[in-house]
Amino acid sequence: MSDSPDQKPAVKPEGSSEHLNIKVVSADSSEVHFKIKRSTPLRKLMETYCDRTGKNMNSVRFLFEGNRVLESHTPKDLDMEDGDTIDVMVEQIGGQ
Amino acid sequence: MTKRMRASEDHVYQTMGDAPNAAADFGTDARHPSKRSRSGASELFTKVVGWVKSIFSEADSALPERGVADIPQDAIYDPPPHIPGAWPGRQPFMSTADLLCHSATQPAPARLKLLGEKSEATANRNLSRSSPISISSDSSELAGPPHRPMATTQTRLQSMIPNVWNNSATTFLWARPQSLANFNKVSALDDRQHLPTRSPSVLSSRRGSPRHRYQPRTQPHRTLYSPAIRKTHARPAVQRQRLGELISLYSPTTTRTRATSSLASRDSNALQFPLFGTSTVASRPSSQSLLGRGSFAARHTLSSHQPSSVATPQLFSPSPASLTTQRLDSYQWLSHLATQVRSSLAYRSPVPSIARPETPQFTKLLAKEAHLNQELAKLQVAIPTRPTVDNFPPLPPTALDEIQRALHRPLVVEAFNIPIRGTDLVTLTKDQWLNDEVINFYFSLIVARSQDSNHFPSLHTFNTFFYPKLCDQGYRTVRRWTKRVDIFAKDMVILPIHLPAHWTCAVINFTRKRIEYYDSMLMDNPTLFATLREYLQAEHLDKKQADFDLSGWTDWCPKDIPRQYNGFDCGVFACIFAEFASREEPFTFDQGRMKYLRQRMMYEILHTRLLVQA
Repeated sequence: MSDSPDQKPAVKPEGSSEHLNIKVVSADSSEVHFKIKRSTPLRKLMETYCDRTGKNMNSVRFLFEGNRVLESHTPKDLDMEDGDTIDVMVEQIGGQ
Repeated sequence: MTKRMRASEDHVYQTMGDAPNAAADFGTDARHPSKRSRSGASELFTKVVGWVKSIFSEADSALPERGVADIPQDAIYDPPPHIPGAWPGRQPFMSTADLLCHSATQPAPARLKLLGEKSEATANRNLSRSSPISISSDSSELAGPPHRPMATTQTRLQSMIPNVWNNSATTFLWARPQSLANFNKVSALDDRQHLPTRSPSVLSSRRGSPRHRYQPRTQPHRTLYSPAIRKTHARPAVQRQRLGELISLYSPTTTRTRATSSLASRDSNALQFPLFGTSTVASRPSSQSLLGRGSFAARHTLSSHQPSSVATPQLFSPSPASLTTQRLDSYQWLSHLATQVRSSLAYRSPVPSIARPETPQFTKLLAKEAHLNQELAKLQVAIPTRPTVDNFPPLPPTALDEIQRALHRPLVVEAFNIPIRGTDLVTLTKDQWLNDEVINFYFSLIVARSQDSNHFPSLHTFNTFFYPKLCDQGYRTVRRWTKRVDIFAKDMVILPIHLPAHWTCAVINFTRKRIEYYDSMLMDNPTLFATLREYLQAEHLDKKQADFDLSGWTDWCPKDIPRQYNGFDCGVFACIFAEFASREEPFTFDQGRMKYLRQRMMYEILHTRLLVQA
């Protein structure tokens, strides 16, 4: 949604910038915006999101471009850029 | 009895135009002067016999005298060793009825000779009993009382008399119209008159048989009419063959085919007719069988001193005219017969053999089969030899202990960016629903195995959130999921599909050009196929800037796959579906292996390696 690839060229010059605007989108399309440093582990972002939305950390999955985002990951590890989106998925179970 | 005989005499006279003359001439047989004086029992018999003998005397005069009266009684039971069917107790080659069939085509004197001869030959009831339709048995029945005066005279002539009378009384009833019709015809067909005639002395060689008694039949005879009998072809093949021989000998120009076939099937003796003595007789079993017992006896007595055939001359006596006009000695006759047989064989040779019939349909089928075999051989070569692996390798003995300890660890293993905690591993224990962490981890293990091995198709996988996100938010939200991978370069994409409270497996098989969907509950999911088709086109358009050619792609949703019989194993089924599909292996697991597979999955997750490797 807000993940606009046309902004990418504009964002790129600010690769030297320390802060990134990261958008966290849940399955119900609700968005939460964060501004974090490139070197900051994403655990802080995830915990903050779970606190705000009242979810259990073990019951949600943060995905960036289809890949799991671990607590130890930093935006730099994942080549995040300004305005990128992190998807929040709820744990899935099934049996029948 | 006298009345009967008179009637038969009338028939004889009517049938044979020259009978009065023959009867007037009956006493001129110089070789049997005593016959006339001792046959005073019946003048009619004497007349008839005299007439017959007058016919035969001509042929007889051409031959030396034979000593045929002293036949050993056991000799008549001596079967011809080379003819399996000629034993008197078995089916004769030619019954009296058959002989009558032939006699009907002959002029009356020849027929009478035939009948008398046959009656003599079959005087013992062996042949007549074994024959299903036999006139001779009726002849003896009509002969009246068992004690016949002729049997007491013990002369050659009297032994002939009842036979002639018997046959005349019965068979001429039917033979008359045909004989009247055929007499002139056959006389005109005198191309056979050059055939020799031989002595009828064989006829009188035997004395009256003690078996020739009055034996009333328990059942009435089926028919006395030979034309019906002639149409009866339901006889054994061997007998029919012998009949063909006989017919060929009798009329070689009209029934050449059967005679030739039967003759051709015989050994080389059939072509050795010009030989004399025993070999000549032995090479002609049909004539022996025709004449039955009498001819056997004659063979035994004649074979030692006469270079001639025994029985066939009677068969070849076509008409009285031929008897008086043309005679051939035995060598000439046999030579002529051999020539005719050879000509018959030569005539049959250009006929295409029936061993290779024209069977276009069968030939077409053979060609089709050969073509299919070639195609099959190509396919067998094209199939790569797959390494034979054990689909269900046993777990190490310590596996269960390892798993038990791991279940209580907060973080069991972390790989593929997926942390597996103890609580996630618990979902693989008995009766538990699997969660997305285990599914994604296991699918990642499968992809990792294909990357490490060259024996398996190249794989790519999306996690369990791909399909819900694609369905709910569209392609745009998953467009960057493939930023670092080209799925079109892979052989297949394995997708764990999460439905509400249910796990299934989908495979985008680029090799087979089909979208496969494996649901352990055997449910259909038409939305999935449509969604994945749209995704493929959108992905191809986005990454390749070209439309994706979906022509030839099929939706593959088999129903003969392993099925889930409970409410909690679908996740295991989905993972194992993907594991087998990634190896293109047939699904050989079933519900019964779920306990083992759950333990194996836990063990594999613990060690971050699948047990089934190349």
